Amino acid sequence: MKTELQTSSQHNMEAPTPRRNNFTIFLGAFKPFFTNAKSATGFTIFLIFLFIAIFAPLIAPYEPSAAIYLPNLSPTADHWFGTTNTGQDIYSQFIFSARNTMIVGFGAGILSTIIGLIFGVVGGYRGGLTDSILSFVTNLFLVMPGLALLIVIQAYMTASTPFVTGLIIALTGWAWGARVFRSQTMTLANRDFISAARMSGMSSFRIMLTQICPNMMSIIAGNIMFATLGAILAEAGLAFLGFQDINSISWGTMLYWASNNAALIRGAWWWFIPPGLGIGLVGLSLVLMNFAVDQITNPRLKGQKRRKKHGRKTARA
Amino acid sequence: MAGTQEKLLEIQNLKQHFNIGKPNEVKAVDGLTFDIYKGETLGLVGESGCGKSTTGRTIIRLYDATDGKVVFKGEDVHGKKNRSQLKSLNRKMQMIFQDPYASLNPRMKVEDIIAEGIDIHGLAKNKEERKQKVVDLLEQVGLNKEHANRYPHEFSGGQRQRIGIARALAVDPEFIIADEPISALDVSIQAQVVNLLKDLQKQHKLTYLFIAHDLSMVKYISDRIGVMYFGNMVELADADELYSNPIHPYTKSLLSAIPLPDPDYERNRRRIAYDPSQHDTSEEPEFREIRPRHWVLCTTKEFEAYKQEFQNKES
Repeated sequence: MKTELQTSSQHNMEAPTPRRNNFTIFLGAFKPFFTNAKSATGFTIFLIFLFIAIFAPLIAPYEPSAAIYLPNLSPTADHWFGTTNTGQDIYSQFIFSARNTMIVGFGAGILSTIIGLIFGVVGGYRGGLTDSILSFVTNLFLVMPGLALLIVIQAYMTASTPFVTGLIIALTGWAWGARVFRSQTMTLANRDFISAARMSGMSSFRIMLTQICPNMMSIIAGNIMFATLGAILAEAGLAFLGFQDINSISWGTMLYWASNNAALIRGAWWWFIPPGLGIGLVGLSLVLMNFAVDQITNPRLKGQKRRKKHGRKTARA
Repeated sequence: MAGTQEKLLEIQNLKQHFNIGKPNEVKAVDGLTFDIYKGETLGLVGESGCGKSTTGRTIIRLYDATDGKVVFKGEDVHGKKNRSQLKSLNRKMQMIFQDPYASLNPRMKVEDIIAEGIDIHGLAKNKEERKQKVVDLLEQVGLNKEHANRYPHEFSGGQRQRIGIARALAVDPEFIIADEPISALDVSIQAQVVNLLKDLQKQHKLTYLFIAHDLSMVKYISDRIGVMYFGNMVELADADELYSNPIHPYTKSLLSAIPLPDPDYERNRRRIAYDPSQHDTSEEPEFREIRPRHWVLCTTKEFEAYKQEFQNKES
């Protein structure tokens, strides 16, 4: 037995297996996003909007809130998406709104995921009274009617910016994530490697951070996307209803002004279609990317795809 | 002879009940008393669900005991403790798990898995020392240093179990609970792992509590064997003594179930069925020493009967 092991170790030393470097591993993490058409499309759309958001000041030709151009223009060479009835450039508004929407959406998505993680993981790992209390709070937030609550809070906060809206969305919408994290933590907490970590004297906090969370990374990523989508839609909805500062720059606010100034009746499609399309496309990209996360989480989906391909090949032959 | 050996661990009337006060209350371990001597291997056998693993996990404080005491080198394991006391206890006692697939964190590299204890107890001063310690441990368990940078899924079951053993050894423990360490492995790998455990015991002067249900393997590795039945220990004796002179009816039944690769023997092998109702129920059974170092759970009446049985056998 021993000699056998030694020979195998020598063999390994002679021909060391080439280890991948950090950069290829980093790229490899994005591979699932390109394995099927859906997630590849989603990821591409997402990257385009991310690019727009990051370089908004360079892309947008004019100041978005400056009302100094000819009002009510349909698309021209100077103003690609036309102008509003107060003479603002719609194309610039669209570009800067993308930036705000992305910040608000992902900010709220990540924040609500973090709150959900704290409630879910601590409750699921600790159990007992801690779990009872945290679950009670979670359930409380779960049964609150989301949009109505947001409207009430927004009505109290006069003239809130998109960022305040995002914060409110995050603070009220974390409960679904907490539920998922709690149940996942409960299944992980009984695994032997958690027992081993406890026996080596690791503190509970460190176990949750280094042992439990990395093992539900795909669920966390999925939850961030889901929460981001929810936050973007909620922010747009609230702004459209006029519960946000009407001078703020966001797709929802653009829709609010478009509807207030009867863009639909006047046939000013260049005013309401860009923001609507923007919301729709970002939402679509998140949903499509979620397919990729789904595929990582659920290996059975991968298997089915392979079987289908295999069947097609044999049918052709 | 028993007096000359130093007691490492004393387990006194240990009880572990789950769901107390509810209709589905389970008495997984119900009044267990035994000692473990320094340097020995105590085998713990019994059917599935008889409380072997629960015993191991309660001893190491993964569960809080319902009642009873676990005394490790004169120090009570259970009861209130501050962090530094707990840490020093964690360094002395470690555990090897049954399922090598569930016992290693799939998201961590082998090096970090093994170094977990080293990091927490601050056993390495710098990165090089940590790496060196991990390599030493890997070599001790028959792996090599290339394995340090890989993830658990790149290993076979036997190799993973070796990693689990290396992790347990990382903090230099004195006492290791092996919770069915070979049950999930291939038969050919089982022998390798058991031999490895034996070698490590010699090198590090370890004491084992070896939990298993493979009776022949337990006989091979253990100095003494305890037989458990429904949360209680029914018989405890030296390995050879237990196999040659089983006294308790349950032990007899258990030993009669061992198959041997001998067709003549197999043809005549008769399974002895165990019927719990055959016991004398006039009083609570107690753990009594029938022969030197041979303890059996019995009532006074049964005690006499068992003794009689022995004398008949010898004469």
